[in-house]
Amino acid sequence: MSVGPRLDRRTFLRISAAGLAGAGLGLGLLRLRLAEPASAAPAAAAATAAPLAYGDWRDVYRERWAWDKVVRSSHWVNCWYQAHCAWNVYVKDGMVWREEQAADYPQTRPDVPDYNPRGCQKGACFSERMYDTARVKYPLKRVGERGSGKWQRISWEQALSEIADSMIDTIVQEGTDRVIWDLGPGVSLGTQMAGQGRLRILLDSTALDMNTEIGDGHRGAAETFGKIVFERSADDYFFSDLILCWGANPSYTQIPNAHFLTEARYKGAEFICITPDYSATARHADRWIPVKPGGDAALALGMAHVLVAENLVDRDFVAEQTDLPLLVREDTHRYLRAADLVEGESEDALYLHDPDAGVVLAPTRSLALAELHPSLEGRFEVTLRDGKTVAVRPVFELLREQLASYTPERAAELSGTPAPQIRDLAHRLARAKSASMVTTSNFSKYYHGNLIERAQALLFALTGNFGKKGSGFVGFPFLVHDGLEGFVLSMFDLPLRLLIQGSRAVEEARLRYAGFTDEMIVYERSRKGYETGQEASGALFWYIHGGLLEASASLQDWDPYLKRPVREVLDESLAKGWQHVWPKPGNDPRVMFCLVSNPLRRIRSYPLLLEHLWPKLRTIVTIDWRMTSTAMHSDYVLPAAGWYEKTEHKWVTPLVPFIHGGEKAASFFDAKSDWEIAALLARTVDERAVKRGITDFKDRTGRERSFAGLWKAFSSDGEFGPTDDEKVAKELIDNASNLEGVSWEEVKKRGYARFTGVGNSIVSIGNATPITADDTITPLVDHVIDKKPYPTLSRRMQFYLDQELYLEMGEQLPVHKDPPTAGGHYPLQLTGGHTRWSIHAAWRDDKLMLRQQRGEPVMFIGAKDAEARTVRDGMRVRVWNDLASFEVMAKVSPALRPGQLILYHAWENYQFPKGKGFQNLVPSPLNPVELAGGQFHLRPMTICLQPSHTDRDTRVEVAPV
Amino acid sequence: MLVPYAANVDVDALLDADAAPWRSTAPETIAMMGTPVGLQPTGAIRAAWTGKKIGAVERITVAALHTGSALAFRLEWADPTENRDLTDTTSFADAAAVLLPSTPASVAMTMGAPTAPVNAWYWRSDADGGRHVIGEGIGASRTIDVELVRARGVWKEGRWQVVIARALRIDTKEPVAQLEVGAKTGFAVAVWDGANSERGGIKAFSGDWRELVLDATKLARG
Amino acid sequence: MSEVKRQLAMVMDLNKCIGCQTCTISCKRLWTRDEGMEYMWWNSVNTMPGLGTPKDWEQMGGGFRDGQPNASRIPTRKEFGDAWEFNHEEVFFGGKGSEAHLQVKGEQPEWGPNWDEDQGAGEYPNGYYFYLPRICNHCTHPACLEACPRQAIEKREQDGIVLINEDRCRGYRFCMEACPYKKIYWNHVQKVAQKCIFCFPRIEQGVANACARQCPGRVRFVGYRDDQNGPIWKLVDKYKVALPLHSEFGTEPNVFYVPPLAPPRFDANGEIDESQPRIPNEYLVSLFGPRVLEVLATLKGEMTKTRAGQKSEVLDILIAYKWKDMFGGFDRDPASIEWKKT
Repeated sequence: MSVGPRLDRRTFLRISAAGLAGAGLGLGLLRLRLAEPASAAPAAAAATAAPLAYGDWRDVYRERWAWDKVVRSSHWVNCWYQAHCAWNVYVKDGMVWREEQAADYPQTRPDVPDYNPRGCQKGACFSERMYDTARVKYPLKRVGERGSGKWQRISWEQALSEIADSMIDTIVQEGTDRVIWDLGPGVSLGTQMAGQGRLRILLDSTALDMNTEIGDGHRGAAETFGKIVFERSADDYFFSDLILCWGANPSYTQIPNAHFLTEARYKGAEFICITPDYSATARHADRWIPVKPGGDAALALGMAHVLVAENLVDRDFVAEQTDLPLLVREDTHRYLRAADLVEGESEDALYLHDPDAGVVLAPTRSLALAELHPSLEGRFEVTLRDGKTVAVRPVFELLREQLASYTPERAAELSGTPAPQIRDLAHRLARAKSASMVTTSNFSKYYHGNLIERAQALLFALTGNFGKKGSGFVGFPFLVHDGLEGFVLSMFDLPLRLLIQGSRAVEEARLRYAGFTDEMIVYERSRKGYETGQEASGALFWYIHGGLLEASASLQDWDPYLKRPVREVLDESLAKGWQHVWPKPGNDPRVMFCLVSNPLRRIRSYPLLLEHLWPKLRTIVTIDWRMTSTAMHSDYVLPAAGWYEKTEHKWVTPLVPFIHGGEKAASFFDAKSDWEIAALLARTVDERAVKRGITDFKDRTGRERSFAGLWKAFSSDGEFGPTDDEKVAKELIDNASNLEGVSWEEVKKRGYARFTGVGNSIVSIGNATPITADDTITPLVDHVIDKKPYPTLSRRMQFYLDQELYLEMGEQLPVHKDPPTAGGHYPLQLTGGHTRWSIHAAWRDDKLMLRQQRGEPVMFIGAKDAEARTVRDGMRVRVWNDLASFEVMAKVSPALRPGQLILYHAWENYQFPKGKGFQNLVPSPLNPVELAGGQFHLRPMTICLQPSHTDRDTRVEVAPV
Repeated sequence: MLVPYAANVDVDALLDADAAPWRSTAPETIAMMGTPVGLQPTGAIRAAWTGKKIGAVERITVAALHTGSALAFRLEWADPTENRDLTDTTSFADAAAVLLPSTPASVAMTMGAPTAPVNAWYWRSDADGGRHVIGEGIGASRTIDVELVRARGVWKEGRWQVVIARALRIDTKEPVAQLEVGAKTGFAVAVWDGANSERGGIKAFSGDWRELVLDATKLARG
Repeated sequence: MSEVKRQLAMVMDLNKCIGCQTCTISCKRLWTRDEGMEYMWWNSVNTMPGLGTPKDWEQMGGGFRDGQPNASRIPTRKEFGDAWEFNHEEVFFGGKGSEAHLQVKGEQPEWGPNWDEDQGAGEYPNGYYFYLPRICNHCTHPACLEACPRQAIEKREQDGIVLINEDRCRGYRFCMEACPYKKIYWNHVQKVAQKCIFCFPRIEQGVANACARQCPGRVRFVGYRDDQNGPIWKLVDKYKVALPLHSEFGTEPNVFYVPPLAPPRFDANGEIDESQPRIPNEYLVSLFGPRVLEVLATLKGEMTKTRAGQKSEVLDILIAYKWKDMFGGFDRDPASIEWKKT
């Protein structure tokens, strides 16, 4: 019996080089310079021992760091505040070997640090992720029950054909609105959306606006500014001398931007972190200020109290930029309106008092006050058109009255922040030359988050911290090119296009005549879309069609401020047309597409979806690059191309004001780009309908449309075929008004190009500020410097909301309200946050990421709370409330505030025993004030001003398993 | 030791420690000693092993046979644990080696010297086969081949049985031990007990050269 | 002792490290992808105070004491944190529905390379922690090199990089015992010890180490110790704000740290209490030596200057307005390299 060669290192490497060694990509990629040919054959009874001529062991390492080609790309996922980063993808032997940041961004100005290198640990291992077991390689059709994990591999033809048939049947038998698109965190607003957008419009499907549902609604910002989109460039923090990190954890969620904050500190900024727990960001602060979760409005109002009481208010700023000088009637508690004084006059025209001119209309076409000196104090009398006289007072007076009760001592009780800190913070804010805020979407996930944001915005307004470099409360960051809308519309033939453009032009002229700015006009168009079903609220879809409202059944028990059942308010809101639901209640959805979206993971109280929505749906299609909780419960799973597998470009935010794009680096089995999938689906629907002899259908307005010609329209008569991703990209970029001089070639090769403006897209125009190549970006400059009106009723930052629901709820001014005990009267508050370990769920079950954690979901609990429950670190605990329960590993930390639990987000349900994911007990109660509508800016529009889903108020108890 | 001639036997057959020729060969029992801690080549090793037992294996039996063209040693010793798996960072493999002088001046205890090397035929339990090593002093050994030395080890009921073999003569410029039937040379034995974390100079050793002669008599008779 | 001509070194600014582990992953995806290397994290970042990886390594010994080698032991795979495998296949395609959930295969872990992330020490509201990234320190007096009986570890003359010669290595692992930082790993497939190579193939091409270049926090400076134009000499020798970790181990590490500041504590009444620091002085001294208190005072003093609008050269270096300046001349873009096929 012969004995094989001893597998020592040299032999091992020879075998590897010959490609014979097994597992792991790395092994096959070694190349050695050997003096003799590689051979694995054992020497038989060798009598000669020629010494192996061998490349030095160092050469093994040197040769490992080599590649065939480099391609620019990025990770086309919703990193939101962190998006995006230009990466070089290194390809070896046709496969992606590794990635490394390109790190060649130009420095904006010499006195501000440059953006390089960007990137994060997640992006740095997508080369591994893209080949792992979670990938979907082929179209899958379920063969067992939904959720059983039993699949059959099918062809694209079969998948598309069956799905198309289901769409056709649904459209014809029940209606176009029954086909639903849930567009998740994988949405690019680039070529991907170009395809989905065209398809959706041609078939009049319902596309869910998921922004407020995912928890990024920034309602308080919307109520105050009439919009939520406004943010700075990350390097603009360098001009701030006081940075309040309040509602954010940039160590976790702004990884590539965080250096601007640590560096700003060195440059002399004071960095103050306000969080309940000693977070990973608090650790970098000059001061850490603790606060109760949800106590932030009280803290802000306590600070505002100090500002007002000690006359630290920037009166000029307030008089010009806010509604604080506008007059409110003492009898109705509503603004004094022109319609009150003169028959037939506007409901939107409001008044201020000038010492010389008396009570006069507040300027609306421009905020410039000219000769006016609006009074902030006083009580004045006006005669209404019916002859009655009423007293009116500036909002500032009402505010001062309200703030009187928010003494630092009382604010301390409500907020959990000690009174001396409240005073100190107010003084620092007042003293600051340019105070800014770092915030993300944390408060959007609190039931009373709107009040919190309004109170925070108030602080910056009272101290005039807007519009100057390094200053400002900020909203939701978003910056896109505006080529998408044009591309989507350009598929219509010329007569129809002219018709659409024509009617728009008429409407636009009317609004401009009335003093509406470009921004306001764009918002009006969106509002119309909500009325007609062109846009649809995701949050309300899940509440009503998904059955989520059930979880709010006990809300009156949880929310002490609730005046009447929320269902009653909902019915009123829908009846009055304040909010809209598509499809209309009672019209069950039938076909649902989850486009890189994962609602069963994302939606709070997701078991209700399985109970109420899933049975209604005849066809559920997940289009994704990986298996997910939702894919597991879908009927079809279609493999979408991973990020390095397609040519793409994507929106970003002003934080990083560069459009990012890149090329395809490799292919993966049967995966296709989203553009291609949409195109093939369009073509298949067309073909199947024609084959089946079905040509016509009615859209949701009753208008006749045709299946025949669908493909022609989608492809612009063949110009944009299924694999014309690049053509589409070029078209979008060429047509963008805010990428002047930028070509698709440049974006593709360099990986990015700086925006030249904010453009006209509804999700970008709100930034209201110029973008230049050589300066940082401060938002809202158009309003503060150029005096453009805000898109609000008052045309100003609006702190007084006199819509009837607000008056009913006592929220006309920002107040503090204790968080509801959502889920029941349990002592611990289950808060959350975004993890550093994943962008939503994209890396949540990634092997490398899990190895750097504990391999499974964990929940942080404070040391004393753990001790009281005999919970030790690493122990599995059961977490429960009135709704449900789950099990998770406890992580005990002295950094946690007593009473607070933190479960960072996006764990998939299948990472928990029995698939009982942690959001099963998060009720996301519906806050009735969010159902308001019908008043100027308090009407739903893209990404905001509609109800939201929240989770930070959830109450639970915990015990060892 | 006088090494009997095993007639009409292929050396590969001898790799089986239970093969008939072994059963009729009387082994020698050799007492082993641990290499002195003071002679360990680095201060770190000395610091780590001071006060610890070096050389867990205290006794070994050795038998040898030659086929006229190859020489095989059969080693057997008691070891309560079979240590083959190196997966853990703290795992070390049971191993054994036969040492032969490459020159008359070669010294066993120093593992040779640059001008007077020693030749080790080495077996380690975590791999099949043997390793052919030249020693030019403590810490100065180098593998010259992984195919010329044949070895196989079997662990049974608390005992290792290891056969290590090689051709008598090798055509090479390397300073290996070249053996001749009838000529007098020497040998030594080393054993590493993996369970005691033995490796390198931390081992049990049989001491200075023991005489080794390959019996020419039966060969002459054909 | 080494007779190197020049010594490369790294400085890590702990006031910029956000614990993102991009350095860890960038190293992993470059060097430790092959069989036998799965559990290796040549770069690791741990929350301090914490037990780190390998678990409680600071108590394991090694290095030198009073100039003599100090006994220690080899950490086990479990102590390092093993490379857990998961049952994705079963969960997604095994047809078991919710009966199968994603888990580590086999024995459930009790420790991992970053197990105690974000826990720290203290008592609320005075809890504290910071992040400590670590690589091989490429010491001037390397305990590993001196421990190896086969001289299989060498220190390069041209730049002081300490490398395990994987041809000479016989897997004895005396180096793993000797290293007090426990930054050497065992590859049981290739049967050699392995560790951080200071990215020498990149260095040779003028490209900075992956961990340094890929760090989004801009934490890591690279350069020669003697280069007076580079950041290392300035931070370590001119301004002396960068300190070695556990210098009492006696190995003269060439990785230095700018020590961490922290926000002030609170007293029992919830008032800010600046009489004691949030991170206890003794703790920082135990890590970085007695000079750490002076360094923190220097940093605070410099920040007071910049807050008043004055210039601070040392803070300007730490800010690194131009990212490329962090790398002491090793600022070549790797994507610009075109490899010749052999």
